[in-house]
Amino acid sequence: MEFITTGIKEAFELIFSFDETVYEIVGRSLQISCTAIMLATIVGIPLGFFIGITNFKGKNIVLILLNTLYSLPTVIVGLFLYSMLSRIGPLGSFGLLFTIKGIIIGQFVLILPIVTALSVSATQNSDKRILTTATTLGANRRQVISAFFWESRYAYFSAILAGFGRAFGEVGVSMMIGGNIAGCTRNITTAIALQTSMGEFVLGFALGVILLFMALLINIVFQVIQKTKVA
Amino acid sequence: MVLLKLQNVKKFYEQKLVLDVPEIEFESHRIYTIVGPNGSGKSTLLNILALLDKPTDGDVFYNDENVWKSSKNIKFYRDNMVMVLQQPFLFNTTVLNNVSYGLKLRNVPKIVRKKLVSEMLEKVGLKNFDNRNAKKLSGGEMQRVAIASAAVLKPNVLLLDEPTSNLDKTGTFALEKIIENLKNTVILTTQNIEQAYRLNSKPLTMADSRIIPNSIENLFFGVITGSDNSKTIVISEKVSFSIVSEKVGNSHIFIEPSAIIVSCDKLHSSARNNIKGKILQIINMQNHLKLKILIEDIEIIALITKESFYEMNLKFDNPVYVTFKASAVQVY
Repeated sequence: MEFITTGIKEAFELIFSFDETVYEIVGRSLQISCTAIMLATIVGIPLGFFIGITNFKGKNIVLILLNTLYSLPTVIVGLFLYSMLSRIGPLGSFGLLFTIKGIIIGQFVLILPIVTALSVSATQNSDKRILTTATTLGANRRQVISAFFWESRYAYFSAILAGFGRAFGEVGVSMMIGGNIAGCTRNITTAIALQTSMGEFVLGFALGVILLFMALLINIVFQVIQKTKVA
Repeated sequence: MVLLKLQNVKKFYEQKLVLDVPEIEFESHRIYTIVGPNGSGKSTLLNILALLDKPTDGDVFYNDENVWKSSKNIKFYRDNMVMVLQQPFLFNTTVLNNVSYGLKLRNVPKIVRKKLVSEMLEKVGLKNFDNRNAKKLSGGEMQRVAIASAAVLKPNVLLLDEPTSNLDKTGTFALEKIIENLKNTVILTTQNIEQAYRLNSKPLTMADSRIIPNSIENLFFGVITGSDNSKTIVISEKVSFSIVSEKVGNSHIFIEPSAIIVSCDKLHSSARNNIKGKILQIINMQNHLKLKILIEDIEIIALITKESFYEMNLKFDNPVYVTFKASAVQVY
């Protein structure tokens, strides 16, 4: 029990002494997850809007598929991408395995269904009178869509936050595609996994505290958004 | 001058006919009231007139230009008309931002926008509401903000979908005053016949997806029963009329007020409908008198000449007989 309390104490010392290793890993995690969520937002939000607003043949199948992929296990994504990006895989020539770009692609694949599915429900739950009102008041198509997004922004922002939370906290894809290479592809979750397996808890605890803090921050922002929406 | 015209317009939703208008014209600077029960097609008609919905068949003309077949962008025509929804949507921002939204889209300078919005808010009785959150207003205030947002654009046609449905009497009268003072062509839908009179508008009646020509009165809903030779429509528990129709089941009927004969005694004639009632109201028209007659639990309107009225010495509350032929009952 003592090693836990000592570990946590030393972890805080590491955090507040601005330990280079800790912040390098945190910075990399942020870099990877922010890029992945940015890409997922660019693709997922318009895709979710389109699926939510239009009626097309096979829409229900698309929704079922999206909801299935929503809870996609990270190791499955890791396994699939590993086979695609490995030297003998179809995308092996791009040299993306064990690189940050590779992890970004993996996290993008992992969170795209989340962002898309939540955008679909954000679109479906938004007030469709926005479209009619903006149109009749003289908005062109682009202005109508931007009015719709602006009025429903909290729901879409929640979708982005949920995706970011999932990307930031995942370990399977980062480990399998990134390979946990120190100073290169090691991020918070893979570092924690490694430190734990080595019995080195201090760095693991420090990174765990930061991960928890980030999760807390995301949830606070989430709650604030929900409250703003209600108000 | 005819501003808007529909020709052979039909609208189907999932193969169900929801609107069937052979022809209808709207002149500029007039108020039109489309009266009809729920589900009669009023909102569908308004959506088509506002160019928010494309008819399945038929043509919409604006200033003699076939809108949906024109080479011009639909937005060019849409900019001339604005529709206010039955449950208006207001953006989650200030009243000022809501009312100036359309002006902003039209690139009106900020200073001019502010002036126009203030003037319009004063017109609709919302002076100094500029900085209030639109989402926190009462139903009546929201309705007025929505009308202000539309009217400030000075559209040639203003379409209002049941604008007073959520208002109390005071709110309704206030809004009617606002509508009367607007200088545009106004087309509004309502379920309230009296509103059409109060607004000094041209009334149009809708039932079962169609516009019923020439009338806003004597429109009833009932169930047709009986055999081929003798059919009746049950309007209420106590009132039913003989009719001639192929239809059975739920239907709307209309009786032309001038087709009704009013007499003091029961007539012995070939007319199948001969029912006793009493005079509820006498309305003086230019050349005629309009009698509102209570028959059990329904009111029927009859149009008679002033000469007939004085000859029969009719008075308020007098018992009278109304007579009309079964073939005078138009079934829709």
